[in-house]
Amino acid sequence: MEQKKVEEMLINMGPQHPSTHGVFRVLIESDGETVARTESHIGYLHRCFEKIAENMTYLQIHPYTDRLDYLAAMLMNFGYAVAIEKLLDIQVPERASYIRVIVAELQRVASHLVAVGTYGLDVGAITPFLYTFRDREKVLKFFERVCGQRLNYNYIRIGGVAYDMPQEMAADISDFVVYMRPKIKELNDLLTYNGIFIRRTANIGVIPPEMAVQYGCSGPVLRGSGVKRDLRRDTPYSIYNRFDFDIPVGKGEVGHVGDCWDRYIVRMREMEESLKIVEQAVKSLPAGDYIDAKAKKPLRPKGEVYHAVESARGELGFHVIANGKNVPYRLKVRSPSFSNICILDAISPGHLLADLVAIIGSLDIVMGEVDR
Amino acid sequence: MEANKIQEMLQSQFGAAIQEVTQEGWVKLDRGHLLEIAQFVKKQNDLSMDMLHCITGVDLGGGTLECIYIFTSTTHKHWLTVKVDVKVEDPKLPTLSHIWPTANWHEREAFDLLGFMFTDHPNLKRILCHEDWVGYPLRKDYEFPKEFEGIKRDLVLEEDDVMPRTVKKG
Repeated sequence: MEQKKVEEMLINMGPQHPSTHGVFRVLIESDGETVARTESHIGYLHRCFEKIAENMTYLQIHPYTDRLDYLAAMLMNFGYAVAIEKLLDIQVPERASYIRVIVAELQRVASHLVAVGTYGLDVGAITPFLYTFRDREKVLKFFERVCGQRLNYNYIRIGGVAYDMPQEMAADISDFVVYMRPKIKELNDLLTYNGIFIRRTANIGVIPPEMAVQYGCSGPVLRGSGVKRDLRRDTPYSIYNRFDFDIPVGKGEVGHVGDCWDRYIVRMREMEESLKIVEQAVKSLPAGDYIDAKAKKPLRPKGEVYHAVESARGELGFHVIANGKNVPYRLKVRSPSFSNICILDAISPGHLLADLVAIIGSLDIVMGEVDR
Repeated sequence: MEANKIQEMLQSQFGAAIQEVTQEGWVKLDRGHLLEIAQFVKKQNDLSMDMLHCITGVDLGGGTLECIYIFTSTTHKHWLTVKVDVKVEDPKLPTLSHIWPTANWHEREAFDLLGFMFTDHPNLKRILCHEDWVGYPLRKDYEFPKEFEGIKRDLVLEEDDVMPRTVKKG
């Protein structure tokens, strides 16, 4: 049969598009309904955080870190605080360490709830989105009680946390853990094992493990491809080595290892693991100081440090070069979403246009962090 | 593997190509050997630095730029930081994008913000700033633009002890 030649059409998706999760633009060369080639464009949200940070004292930088990944602001605070503490050799008080782990893991649950909820929305399931936002609201209520903010907390500070956790909150968080577990099961029934959802996500956007590593993917994207790497376990920071939790990886249960469904299910299972950590931490929450006295003085560190932590989207690294002044000489953020999204151009060719939306959603990017 | 073991291994393998090793675990190289050493740390079984975590850089002042590569291994869970100094007049470095594809975007970012020129890079153009942006924002001698595409800013930069800030004139 004679092969028909089709003229390729150039389609512009974004920067303002509901399924690009922010201001992200993809130029698509399409062959009918099939994607032939894509070209990603980023930078629409660029404000050069790194340059701003060079003009800010170490404490003033803290609120800016919130604005990197605004869906997991606690973890951004955490990453920055841990890096500066390593530089200054500050010991965080026990109580502060536990509070940090509790809020960080609650934040991970909240962030993954947005990820799976909006992912359902991307592939056409509207109801789960409402359910996940209802439950996320409960987490945000805790954050509001602990620091007065709902989205950009500036709560985890260098040397500890900004305010002590109210005494009666521990019991409420335990109640939340009990409340949340059946809700995850409910979400599984509603979305995860839904036949239509599986058909939209299984075998789509497969990232083989070697490829994921080569492209610097991390977090649920890397673990979805079956690579068991989690900085909370591999290079333990803070007090993560005291808790018992599993690292879920994608196994290709409904399709190939590393497809969209695998990345999705890793997030679902990570929520359960985070709840496990929260439960353990709340049980052993000690009394005492919530911030180290050394961190309250003006900070003039000297030296150079690179420290990476496991954020909700992957490995968040802060590279700080300090020269003894009150402002850093250079501060670099290694953002997980930046490395995760650079794989898009490599995996999208050959998929249907509608599947491109599913792939972008499964990578779960936050543009505030990609563009910095 | 411990950081100092990695340093020793590289020193025994490459000798004089390693210019400096520090206690914190960094290795400073000559740029002529970067490609060779990058391939070695990826292939060597005891190192197997299969992930390029990030590429960054810093303007050290005095006409020197430093490019910093951070590698990590998913199997051995260890880290390696490699630094390469180049002069501002000749900020050329070999690209690593054919060894680690992630280097493509990270090198574009380092080019965009600090002005490193990565030779043989497949697509070396600005990634975060606008395509017609002038200058490299993270260089220490960078001057804030007074105007961009016809939009004027009537601002002056004043320095005080706490932090330099932009203050409105008059």
